[in-house]
Amino acid sequence: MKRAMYFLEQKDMPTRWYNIQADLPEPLPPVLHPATGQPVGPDDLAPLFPMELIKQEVSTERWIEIPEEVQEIYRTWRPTVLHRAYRLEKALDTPAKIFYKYEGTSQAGSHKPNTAVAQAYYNMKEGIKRLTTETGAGQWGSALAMGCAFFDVELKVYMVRISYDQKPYRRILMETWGANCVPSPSPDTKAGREMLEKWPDCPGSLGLAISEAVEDAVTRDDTHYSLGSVLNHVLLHQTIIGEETRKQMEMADAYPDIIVGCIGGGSNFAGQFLPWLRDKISGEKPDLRVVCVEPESCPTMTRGIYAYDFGDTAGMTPLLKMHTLGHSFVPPPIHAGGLRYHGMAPIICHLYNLGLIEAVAAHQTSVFEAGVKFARTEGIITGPEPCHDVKVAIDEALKCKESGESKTILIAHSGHGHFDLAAYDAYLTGKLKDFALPEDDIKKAQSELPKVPG
Amino acid sequence: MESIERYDENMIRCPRVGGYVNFKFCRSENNLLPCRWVTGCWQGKIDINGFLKEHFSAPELEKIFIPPKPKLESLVELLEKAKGTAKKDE
Repeated sequence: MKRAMYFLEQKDMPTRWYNIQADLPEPLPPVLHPATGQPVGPDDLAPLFPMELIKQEVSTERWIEIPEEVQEIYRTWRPTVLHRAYRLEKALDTPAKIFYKYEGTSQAGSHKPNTAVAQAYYNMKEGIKRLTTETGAGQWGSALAMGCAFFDVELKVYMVRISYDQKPYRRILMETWGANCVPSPSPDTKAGREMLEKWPDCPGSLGLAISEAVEDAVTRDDTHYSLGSVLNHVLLHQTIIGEETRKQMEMADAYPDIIVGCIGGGSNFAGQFLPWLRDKISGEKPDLRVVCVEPESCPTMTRGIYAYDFGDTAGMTPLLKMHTLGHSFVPPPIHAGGLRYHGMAPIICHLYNLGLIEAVAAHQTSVFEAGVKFARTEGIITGPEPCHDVKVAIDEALKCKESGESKTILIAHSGHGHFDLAAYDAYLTGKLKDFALPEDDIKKAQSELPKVPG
Repeated sequence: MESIERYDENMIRCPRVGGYVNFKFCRSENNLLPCRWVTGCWQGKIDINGFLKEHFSAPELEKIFIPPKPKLESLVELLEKAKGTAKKDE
């Protein structure tokens, strides 16, 4: 019998998160304050986050214990299953072995609860009674609503009004888990009121929703703010994925030659590959390939450069060293919204700069083509973002077919696409278009990068 | 000059909010200015560059295309702004 699923016993679930900052050949460049040029410190962030998360943000300890209370909640859906994609392999007629670690079986349907639960816990431990956050379509808001429900922390979610009106299902998820979800702009904050005065029917925006969530947190002593991607502590919490996968791959008597995942905020893929990358850093597995997949229409890593970049034209925001296409880059539309960041998680940019990970770009129609093939072979309707992983895994498997090599490919699959069926519909009805950014546009954008002070 | 509302009823899927929006949203979601992604999204569907040049000044266009800020930095900035607001209210 061919074994298609690898289950880890709950007693074998990892009890520590892995912190790559302990093993980096060079430390992560600091976040600089624009006014002073000095690193942003704990005091700058204390009104928003609990001290334990701020410590994790800058920690260089290799292992961070997962609190027992968090483990207890993790065990309501973890360990997640490692799958062997035999049917996809057969369809591709490849000698490659394809595995995927699927995070879509969490109650919220994605990897997001791995950090949502931890963040709710640390806030509760420090006496915080209430959290705020923003959400677009509601994926992060619903994951945090679940996390807060487990620890009796009140949650207020500022949801972009147009989504609030048009996409009721995630809002209903949030409310079912006990969150107070309001449309942004709301009359509850100064930022919201100002906008409503100017435009009573304003459909909102993500920027405004963030402003409202932060203002709400800063103006109440019992309230903090929570973020679901990009930051170091968020990536740290996601390493439970890779630590589990290491044990499961051992059960399969396999070790990945290639790990593929999509990059945006970077949290799911980082959660998978960081625990493997220490083998490459130590020299034990020098040939391990970690492949980040990004949209061809927004090629931040594959065609960007590594530089300090201002966040605004006045140069008043802090500087962060990250891959960037420069100020004036305006990417064309794609359906995987989370991949459209101007920059991404600093840890991922740093690893790329050190040559420890690589990046490839994929066109969106080919990405959905891969998603459909995956659905028709493995059965899972993949979210638009992890469709990028599937696309590149297929490409690598087809290369194996040509070369005759039997490489082991591991896909970091972040979740299902049940709330993204309109994107599939657009693909199936031929409405999706591919965009490739002209090289001249990229050069022009990069020429406008500012110089680093000091 | 043609009306600024002439494309308002056109619909498109917005990947940022994860659903369909009309052009009115796209031309005003950035603090009443167009979204910074507007040219990419509407390219090939309407004369978006002509529309922008017709209805927005050079300083406004510059403001529109400010890139998204890195999260941590934008949070620090928002935090300081909110603290300032709270002090004024006191």
